[in-house]
Amino acid sequence: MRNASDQQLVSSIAEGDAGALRVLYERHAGWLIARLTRRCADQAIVDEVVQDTFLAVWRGARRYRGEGEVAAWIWGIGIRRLLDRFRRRRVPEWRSGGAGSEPSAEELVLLGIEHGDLAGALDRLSPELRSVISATVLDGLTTSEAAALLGIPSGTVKSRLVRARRELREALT
Amino acid sequence: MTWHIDDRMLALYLDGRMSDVPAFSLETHFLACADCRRKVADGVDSQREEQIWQRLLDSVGQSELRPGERFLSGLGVPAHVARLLALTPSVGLSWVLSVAAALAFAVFASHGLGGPMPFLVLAPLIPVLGVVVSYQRKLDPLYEIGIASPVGGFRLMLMRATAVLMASIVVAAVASLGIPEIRFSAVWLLPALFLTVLTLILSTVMQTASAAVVASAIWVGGVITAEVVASEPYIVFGATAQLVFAVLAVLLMAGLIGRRDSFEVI
Repeated sequence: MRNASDQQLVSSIAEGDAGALRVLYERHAGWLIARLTRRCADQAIVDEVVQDTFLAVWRGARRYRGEGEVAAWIWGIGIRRLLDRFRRRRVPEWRSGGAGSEPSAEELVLLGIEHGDLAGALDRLSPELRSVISATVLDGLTTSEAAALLGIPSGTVKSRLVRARRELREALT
Repeated sequence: MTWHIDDRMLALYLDGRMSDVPAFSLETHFLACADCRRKVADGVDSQREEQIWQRLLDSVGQSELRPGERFLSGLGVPAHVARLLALTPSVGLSWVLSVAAALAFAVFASHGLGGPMPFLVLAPLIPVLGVVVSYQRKLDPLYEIGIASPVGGFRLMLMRATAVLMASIVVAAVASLGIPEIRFSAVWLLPALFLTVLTLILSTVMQTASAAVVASAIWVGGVITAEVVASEPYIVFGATAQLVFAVLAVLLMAGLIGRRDSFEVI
């Protein structure tokens, strides 16, 4: 089972195999914690969300369509569980970016290797535009989910996305 | 893939010191790269992961079970039967509480009248009421499932009637401890069994509620008549009467099995 692919594990979980859930958990809980922590500073909430996420995997393994990265599927569940927590609390604790700091020269060099101008262009976006890109493109949320997450109307999410896309295109041409 | 997460980037990311753009890049990368996912995971406290896992195990085991189901499973009842029984309305907490209230009233009345008669009359009627509650469409969360159930109407009815009877007996037995005269004697038990089966067999020819009313009327009328006509009090709860109730219950059960087909279509 240790050598099984993620897809195989998910189909075993769909048949009620708790051992497969354990292996999948060992593979995916760590990065999920790290990635959620970047979006929510409260460790207790992150822990609950991780627990909820794998409970949803356990119950909903049958709904996995068998295509695409299992990691991406798990993230899709996790980010929505986190979103549910925010909605219930009504006090958004969403955090974005490393304390609002500019990227270090070191980071820019590291990124420059792969992304060239894109990194700089993304970086020059205002924080509002960047958070919209982050929620929709990166976290894979829908417009209305992103709106709930960022605490702004979905119309605003759409218009900011259009602006962000335009600015990026201009910066890259 | 030529690009992978190195230690310096990892440290920045895990500390939350990395700014948006590099973090975007890193997150997009490790979603598709199992090696880098492992690297990120190594930076997370494994004890914390283990604690979450333990809580997850608890919720995986329990989340799908109602409290009643957990109790029944503990007694060795198969899971699917436990689910059916836990969803039987008359085994629910609200029903047990209202029955307990009625019996408490009967216990007080028995004390007031200087004899256990009110309790002895009421106790056998408890499962009859339970049967009615169990089969009222509006009250039954499993009504449609009951119709469509592969278990079959007759078996389903027997399982639920048994559950109703058991729940009633437990509540009545506890209540009877409040009456010194009858404390550990279970003279109401066979009448209860008889009346439950009578209600079930009557329900094959009339509405369940009407069946319960008829059975209750027969019971109360019978007790009053016996008390008036017979020379000694409590004759309905005497040894001879117990034997009669036992025989009647067996006969009616045979009759019920004979009419099993009428439970298959509700």
